[in-house]
Amino acid sequence: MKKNPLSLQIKIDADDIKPLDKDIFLKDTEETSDVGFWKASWKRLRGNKIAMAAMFVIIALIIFAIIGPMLSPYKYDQQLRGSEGLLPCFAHPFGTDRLGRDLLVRCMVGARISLAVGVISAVIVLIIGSIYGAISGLIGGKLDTIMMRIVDVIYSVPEILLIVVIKLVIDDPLTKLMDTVEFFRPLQKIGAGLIAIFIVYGSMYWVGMSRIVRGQVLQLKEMEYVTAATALGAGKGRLIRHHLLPNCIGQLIATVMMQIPSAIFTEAFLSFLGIGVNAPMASLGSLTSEAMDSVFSKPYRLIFPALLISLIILSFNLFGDGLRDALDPKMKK
Amino acid sequence: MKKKLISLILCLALAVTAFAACGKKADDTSSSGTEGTTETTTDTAETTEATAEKISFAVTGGGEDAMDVNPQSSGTLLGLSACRHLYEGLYKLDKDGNISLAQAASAETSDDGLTWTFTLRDDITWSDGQAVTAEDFTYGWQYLVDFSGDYSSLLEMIKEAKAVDEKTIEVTLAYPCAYLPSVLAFPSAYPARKDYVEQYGDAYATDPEKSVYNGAYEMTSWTHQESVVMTAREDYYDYANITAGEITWDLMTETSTMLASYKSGDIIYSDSYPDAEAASLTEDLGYASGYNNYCAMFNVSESGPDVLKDVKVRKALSLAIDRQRIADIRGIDDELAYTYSPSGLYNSAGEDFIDTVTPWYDVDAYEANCEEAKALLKEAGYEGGKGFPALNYIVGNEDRKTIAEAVIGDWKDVLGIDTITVEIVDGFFAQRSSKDYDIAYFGWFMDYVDISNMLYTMVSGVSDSGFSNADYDAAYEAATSSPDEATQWENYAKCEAILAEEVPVAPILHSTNSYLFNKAEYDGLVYYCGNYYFGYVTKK
Amino acid sequence: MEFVQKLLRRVLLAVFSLFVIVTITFFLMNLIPGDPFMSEKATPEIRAELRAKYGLDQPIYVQYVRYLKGLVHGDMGNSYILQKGRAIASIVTESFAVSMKLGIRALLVAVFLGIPIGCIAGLWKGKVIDGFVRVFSAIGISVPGYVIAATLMLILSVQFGLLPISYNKPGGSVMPIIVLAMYPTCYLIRLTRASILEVLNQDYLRTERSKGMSEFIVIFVHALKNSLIPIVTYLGPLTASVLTGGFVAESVFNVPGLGRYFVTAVQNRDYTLIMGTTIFYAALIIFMNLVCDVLYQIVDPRIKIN
Repeated sequence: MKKNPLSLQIKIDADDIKPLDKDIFLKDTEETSDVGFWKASWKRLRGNKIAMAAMFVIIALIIFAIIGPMLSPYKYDQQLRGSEGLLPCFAHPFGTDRLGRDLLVRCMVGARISLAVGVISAVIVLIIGSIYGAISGLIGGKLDTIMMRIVDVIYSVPEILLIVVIKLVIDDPLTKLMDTVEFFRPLQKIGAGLIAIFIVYGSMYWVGMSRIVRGQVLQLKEMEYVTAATALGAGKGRLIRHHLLPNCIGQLIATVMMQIPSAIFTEAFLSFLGIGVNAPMASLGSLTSEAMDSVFSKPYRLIFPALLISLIILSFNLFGDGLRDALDPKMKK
Repeated sequence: MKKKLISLILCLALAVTAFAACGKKADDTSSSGTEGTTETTTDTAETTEATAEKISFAVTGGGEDAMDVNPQSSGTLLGLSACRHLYEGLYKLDKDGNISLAQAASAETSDDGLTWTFTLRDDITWSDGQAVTAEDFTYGWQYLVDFSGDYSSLLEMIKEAKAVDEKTIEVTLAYPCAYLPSVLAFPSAYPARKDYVEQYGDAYATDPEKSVYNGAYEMTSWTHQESVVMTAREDYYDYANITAGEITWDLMTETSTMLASYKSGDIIYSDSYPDAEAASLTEDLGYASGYNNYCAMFNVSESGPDVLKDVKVRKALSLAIDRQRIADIRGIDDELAYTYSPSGLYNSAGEDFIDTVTPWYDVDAYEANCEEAKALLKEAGYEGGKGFPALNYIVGNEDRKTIAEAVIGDWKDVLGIDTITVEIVDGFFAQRSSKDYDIAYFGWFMDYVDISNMLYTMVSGVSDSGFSNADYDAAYEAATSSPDEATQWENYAKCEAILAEEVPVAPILHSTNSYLFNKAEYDGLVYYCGNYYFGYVTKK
Repeated sequence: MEFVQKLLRRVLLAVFSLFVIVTITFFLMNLIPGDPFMSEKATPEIRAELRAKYGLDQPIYVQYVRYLKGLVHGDMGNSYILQKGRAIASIVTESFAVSMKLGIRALLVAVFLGIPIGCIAGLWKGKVIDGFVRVFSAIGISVPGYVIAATLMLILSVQFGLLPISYNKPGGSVMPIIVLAMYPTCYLIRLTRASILEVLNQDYLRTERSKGMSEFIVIFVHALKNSLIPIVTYLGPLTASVLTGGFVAESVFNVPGLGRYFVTAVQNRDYTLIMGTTIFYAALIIFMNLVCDVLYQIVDPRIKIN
């Protein structure tokens, strides 16, 4: 019998008074049995269909972005004379742009850059945030107060405004650095703009991560095994590396997953303002904002990169959700 | 966002025709009563109807930042165009886009051409009812000099300007200047009311009530960042011939928004549109020739990269540019450049300057040019682009980036150089003028149509390329100090030849001005060297 | 008494944060290459003159002290580019009023669409409507704002002529509101749905049911009330982000709001306006955080201030 959730009547199903399934306890023990943290997490993750689907999409996107350009007969910056502004066709499934560049390969390279922006930014955030949070939580006292005040201040900064300002400030010195120092020369291809995005992103978004880590550290600090380790003479560095970080790794990974789409969004926004990657390199953000200029006569140029951005963001979000649940079954939102 | 900054031209050729009209102006533009004087012959019934019932419409020319309606400070096409509606100088643009007398009823020139005497009309007033006086003009000119805006040196040929009486201005020139009327028709040379300027200071003309208007329109509202509304003034002497009663200037910054608004019929004119859409807009675009050039500039100064100090490399880079393809990509029928100076600079015999100059290369023989370029690069030691150092090509905006990408594409395909990247930099002009670049966009929109104005940009110490050549300077000096046209041209041609030899810049195009205008339903737009005037627009 | 003392400390801290942000922004701003007076034809002499006129040629610390002094009196200087001579304070407050008008409407849309739709999806979990809502909300949170804006413009205005593009035309606020409300609405839908599902699974509901409560009461009185708590806590940051996040919608639809001023100011190196906007936004965020904290304290005394 169907239950109407809005009904005012008391309805009791036969199901409600059925004896419990005898396997129900078995299931519980299975989950908590000693299969190891990673195995158990993986098992839980596998059970989450949406997260698995998202994971496969991510893998597909990574293949598309990394292997795709190698398989394409064209280069991302190759201008095909006589093939300017083509509609999608067999040779160019996404069409070509004003300069006769194949948009499929540009989207692949763009996806590669956007994924790199997401992953590298997230890793930077992870590193800065977790070190800062761990130190703050572990040492505690005055230092903790001061460090958390700093976090408070950064929290109240309108970050998107400062990102724009910082980007403008460090762009120039970075370009100079690449021009003059031989070691940084290879970076010129990606351009100062992109590097600036990493720095900017890393310098603004680590605060959330540091709060999480600090919270975890404070919680773990009270646990017996940490006290035991301290009693056995473990230094603070050892404590961080061997005890604290491994224990909050689950939540960290999930948070990192959530940072990735946010960094990609930021990059797209900066491209909209015209301060993204250097030409002829492309990111999905720069491709969409370029396509905005011809959206009336050639809307398909916007559709492909926009679709890719959405797909990346969506799949990371869904995968991140699933991962969080899988890695930390206690912490349900 | 595309901003067409300060690309202003005073069309001299047109000025010449204006002189003919000087003598008979009085009866021509007479009073407001006679509507019959509107000379568009075709359909008289329609014309009278248009005069009786004035139309209103919306247009756009850019955003709030470009809407500077203080004539003495304005330096943007939008600001200057808006000023042409709100204020009026001794001369103005007439219906046909020619320079004709406006606030002045007559102009007399002394035999040596050094003294000009202007008599103001009797029926001219400011929008607050006060009469426009000679002093308003002399004050405006002084204010222009004091203001230190982009055009503060526009009137440098004027040695002295004095108000002889309420209605008479006497101007003494430093040197004879036949194109003075076009200069005086330029918004920077408009009158200004001392009381308003002094009362509001920097805030002068930043809100409707913070200025007073002597043009065909007065500003009735300015919702900042949104729109400016101008209404035709009934006490303007030529009110009867003004067909647009109310003009709304929407302040937009995104070119795609401008195009969308145009397509949806919200606005009937837009000065910009996304360049990439040009090919699909042929029905809506209006074209006008612009006196300019569009180049790739090489930094040949001390601070520039060593590789560009080799003239063979510069020549190879210039020759390898496929100019036809770039014009095709832009899709608005630009002229391909084979000289630094643009076409359309005529002498008294009607010859075009660029026809008298030896072309730098044969622009139609691209294949041959490529071969030559490859050979040159090989001589310079970079055969097939091997070992060519990394260079940065800087530009100021998205559209120029596209063109720069096309150019580096040519360098890659023809010369094998794949180490050059393109970057949009903020503070582009400052970076270029401080010679902090390798290769940069360079384009010059002439301020007045005289060859000297174009070639001046490559004089030592002036050129952003750091180009410094004694022969060039000598030839330029010889040309500008000579009163004789033949000597001038001979020396200007010499300048061009030196540039062709040294190639501190690679000219790419002489670009065409283009704008969106609903030609299907409207008529009567006056477009003059980047400026637009809507007063005579009629509905078809 | 303790409460007042804590509140005072919190306010002092807020003022200190603002001061730090002002300082950082001021010095960062001065590191940006270029100045507001760059244009193609401005000669170095003219630029130098203008710099002198606005005191930009003075040592940086002099400028900083001068700026702070002005700020204490509510004077954020004048704009160099836009409406020269107009006080930044009046530009910022005026344009923020526009942003706020739009932002609040977008927020209302988000709340009054997002929460009910989320509830419905949660209650009818696994049904067609749930699937539809989930797909829609997933798209909503993953498409960049300017793509939504362009699509709306293309379809609603250019193709069908249903809505005007510019904000100043009648009906012109519809599209910016849609763009602004899209992300928060979809986010709220997902949040509400998740929250409802969570609560529905909890033991006390089973208890309520077993006590013989009607399903209606169970859902509307107990489940909804409890599932709203995480949603309410999200409304604070949501308000801040909607009020400050209008860059794209405002630029595309010509809304004379603060976000658009900021974009123009950045492009023109209009120092005082960039400063003014950043400080204003920072003050707004700090203030809202403060209010939220205090409200939580009152609502739920278990949460400790600080």
